Amino acid sequence: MNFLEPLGLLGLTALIPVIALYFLKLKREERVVPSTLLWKKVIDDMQVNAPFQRLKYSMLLLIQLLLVAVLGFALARPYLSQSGNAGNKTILLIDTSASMSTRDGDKDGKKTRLNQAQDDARGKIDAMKHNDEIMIVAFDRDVRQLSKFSSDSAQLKQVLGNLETRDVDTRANEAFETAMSLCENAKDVQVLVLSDGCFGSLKLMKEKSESTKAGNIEDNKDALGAATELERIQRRLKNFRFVSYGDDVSDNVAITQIDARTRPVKTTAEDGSRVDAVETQIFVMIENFAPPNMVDGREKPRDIVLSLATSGQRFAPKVISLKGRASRTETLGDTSGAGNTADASRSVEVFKLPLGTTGVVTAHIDAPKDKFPADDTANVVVGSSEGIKLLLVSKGNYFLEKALSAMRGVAVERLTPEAFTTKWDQSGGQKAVEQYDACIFEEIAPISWPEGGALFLGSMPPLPGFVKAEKMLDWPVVLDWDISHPVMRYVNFGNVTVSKSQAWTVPKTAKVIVEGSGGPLITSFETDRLRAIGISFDVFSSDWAYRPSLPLFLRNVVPWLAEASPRRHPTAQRTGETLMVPPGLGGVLASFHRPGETPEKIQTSAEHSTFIKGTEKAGLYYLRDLPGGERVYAVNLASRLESSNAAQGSLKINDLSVASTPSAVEAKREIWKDLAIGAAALLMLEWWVFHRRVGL
Amino acid sequence: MDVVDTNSAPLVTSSIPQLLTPEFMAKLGALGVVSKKILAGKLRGERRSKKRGESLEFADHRQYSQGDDLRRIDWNLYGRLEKLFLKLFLAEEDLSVYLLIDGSRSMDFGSINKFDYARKVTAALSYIGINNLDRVSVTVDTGGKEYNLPNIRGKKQVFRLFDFLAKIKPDGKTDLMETTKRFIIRNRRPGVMLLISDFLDPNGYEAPLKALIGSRMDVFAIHVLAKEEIEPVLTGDFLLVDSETGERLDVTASRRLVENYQKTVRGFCSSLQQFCSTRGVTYMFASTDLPFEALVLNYLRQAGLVR
Repeated sequence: MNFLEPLGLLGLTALIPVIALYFLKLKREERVVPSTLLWKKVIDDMQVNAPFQRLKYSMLLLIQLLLVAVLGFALARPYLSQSGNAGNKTILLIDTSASMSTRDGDKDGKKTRLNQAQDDARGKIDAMKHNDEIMIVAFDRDVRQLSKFSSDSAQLKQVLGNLETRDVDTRANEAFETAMSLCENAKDVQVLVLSDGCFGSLKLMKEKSESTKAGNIEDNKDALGAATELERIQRRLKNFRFVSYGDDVSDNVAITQIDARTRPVKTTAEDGSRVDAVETQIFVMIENFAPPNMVDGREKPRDIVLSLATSGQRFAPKVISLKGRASRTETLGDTSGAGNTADASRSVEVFKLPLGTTGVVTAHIDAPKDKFPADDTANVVVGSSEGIKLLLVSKGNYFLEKALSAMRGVAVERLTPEAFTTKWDQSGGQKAVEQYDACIFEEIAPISWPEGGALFLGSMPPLPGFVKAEKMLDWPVVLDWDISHPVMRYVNFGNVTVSKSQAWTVPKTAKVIVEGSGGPLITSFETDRLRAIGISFDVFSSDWAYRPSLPLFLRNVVPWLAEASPRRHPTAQRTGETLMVPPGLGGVLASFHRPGETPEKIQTSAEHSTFIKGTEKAGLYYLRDLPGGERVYAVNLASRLESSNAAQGSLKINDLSVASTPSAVEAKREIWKDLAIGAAALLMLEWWVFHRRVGL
Repeated sequence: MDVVDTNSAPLVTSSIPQLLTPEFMAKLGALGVVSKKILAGKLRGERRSKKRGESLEFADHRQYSQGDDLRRIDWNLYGRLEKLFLKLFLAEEDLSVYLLIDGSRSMDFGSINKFDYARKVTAALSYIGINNLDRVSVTVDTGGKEYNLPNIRGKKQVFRLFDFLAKIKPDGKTDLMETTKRFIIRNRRPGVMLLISDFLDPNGYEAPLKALIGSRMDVFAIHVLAKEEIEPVLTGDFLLVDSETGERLDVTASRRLVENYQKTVRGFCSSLQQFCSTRGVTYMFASTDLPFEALVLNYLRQAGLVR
């Protein structure tokens, strides 16, 4: 046993006055007796006239001395070393994702969850025995092994001190995989996960594996792999110990999505003539992750101030009232907020920018009690009004062509399927379409689609996970459609009737936008570098061509697809994604500025795209010294998984649940509380002895 | 040492409570003080004496010597032996009953006051003696002062006795040796001697009792203790103050301590009893919770002091 405050042992000097008090006589009640002769015979050792009496055995004295001694020890904050519980080797798996920067590590809101985890990890390092070794592995979107197994506490503490949170989401499964592989060849390795438990990836894997069990995509390697991986993690997770940090109730309000849309409009010039112009709209999705605030049995909405500003202009702030989130059971993978369109805990706000506005637009929310500032600000880059080059590969579709030609700012180029196939073969694949911002394929699909935006109409997207059944579906009924998806804005699918559609099985990562009775009718698929929309029916097999929803749908789809084009400058990106420099900018030595860091030189390529990594911090990234000036990238957290930052009390995979065990890192378990309880018990015993006069 | 002789200073009888009720006195009228020894008296009385006297009971003959009363010559014997012999008869004398009461401050204790109790016993026994034409002497020693009512005879003296007893207040320290020494010097005539005390003398009770035995007295020791002394009700921290000496004693009275005290009291009583019985002294223990009437009519009768 050691002491955190050895000076507290000075409290033991209180024993001296206790003993001194026992030397002093008690003030006693006088009682006259006929003679003290017989009393003296009974207690002949009691002195009368001396001011002090001889110290004699007394149960009360013993109890009081014990009481003072216990309190004296408690003042010295004694602790017991818990290192005996740990194995010889420990892997500290420390979460550095964005949610760990939530400032609820202490009451004052100064410490982040990571700071708290670092403190505990330091305690663990301090408690290492002679032959103990610790390895530090940080994980968020990536897994970083920061040290080997080492018993050098100074080095380990230095590594620990350099740890910082990054504005990225968490991929816990990869971290667990890494930890397990590190354990493979070593015995008695304990893995200690220090995290807030806000893992979305594990849940996504579970959803994948469940689809495997259902047998609907038996040959899907991705899903099978997920199930196997999950089982492995579950098997090994038994050796893991988990320590959770943070409040289990979130009070976070976040900007979970931000987007800029442009649309061509007619405007009146100074000379009174009507001219073409481009109007930009900013869409901001705000979500409240806090539980409902009930006052007098009714929920009191939370007021959030949303302000928008460009470099030279500030817009009037909006006050938005959001209700709390009723439950936390919604699908974490649902990053767009689909499936709960009537949710009062979120709101999509639209700002119209003045005509011709370009540059960076910053949205900021001001919510009281918000301890997670990383998602309170989001940027979007509004580019120049450059038109969209669209390739339409079709045998000929009057309605489609008519709707596309009506779209301002979109230059449509048509190719027959045969011409496209020839061009594809001659140019060697993707290069055949690299001059277009988006493509529409009607009843034809290229062999593969690695990047860019494409709409597949009546043909299945050539993407992994998409499987087509041989049978066609007759008269599938439209069951549901997701109006929160960007391509479904103002689109009503309730009056659309489909006579025949293909039966597709889509990967879990794909999003079903329009759900039919026999399967998905419209599906979107999105990765960092590609966007695809798949429509499983032909326009002529439905009455959609006669509905206004078709041109509206195309009006939404074309710009959305074009945003994925390497040719186009993305309005905003998520943290962790690579920044792309298109080849058209030329091969120069550019200066790259990360937010809050010193610039670095980047060699761009004139022949192919240049990709820049290291975007783990939300903010604005500048690429300067380019021939055409600077290029700005807006990088936002925009992760519902991280913004939903209520700490989890346990890690759950399938049937296995690993509960948080704070004692796993309490290497110095203070025992002053136990001593205080003991002192209270002694005090009660003393009271009892005093009143019962037990054993004078 | 002050000695108050009430023969020279008659006591005032006004406002003095009656120690004995007439009914109780009537019961006492049938009793008499009994001595185990045949003791010589002073005046003619109703008790057989060692002396030869003028009773009707023949005792012995002795030869005539010059100066003897001629009326006592046994002429019948002279006729047969032609020698002069005197006819001797047994004498009948009174009995001296001495009552020595401890009037120290230690006796002034108890819900039923020990001294009051002793005073009543004294009154009862004195009344029995007076009623039987015995010579009763009462001495109360109150430490620094000794009250003495010597040689009272005749029923007329009863109320004087009661007045005498009623006016005394206990005071002073217990010094049995000094008290008995003075008593023995003053009362040379053998008789029945009753010592009523709590015997709580720091110098011990052995020497005084030995002195009394040596003075040819038929000694009766009546040991009076209050109920509060025998079974004290004490819990907590106390400063015990000795009523006589003012001596102070710190006591934390626990159950164990009180039990030890009670054992000590019982041991003290039994050692006194043993001392008395081995030396021919009749010991009688009287707790103040024993009714006074029961003590006199039953207990003292059983002990052989009265009959």
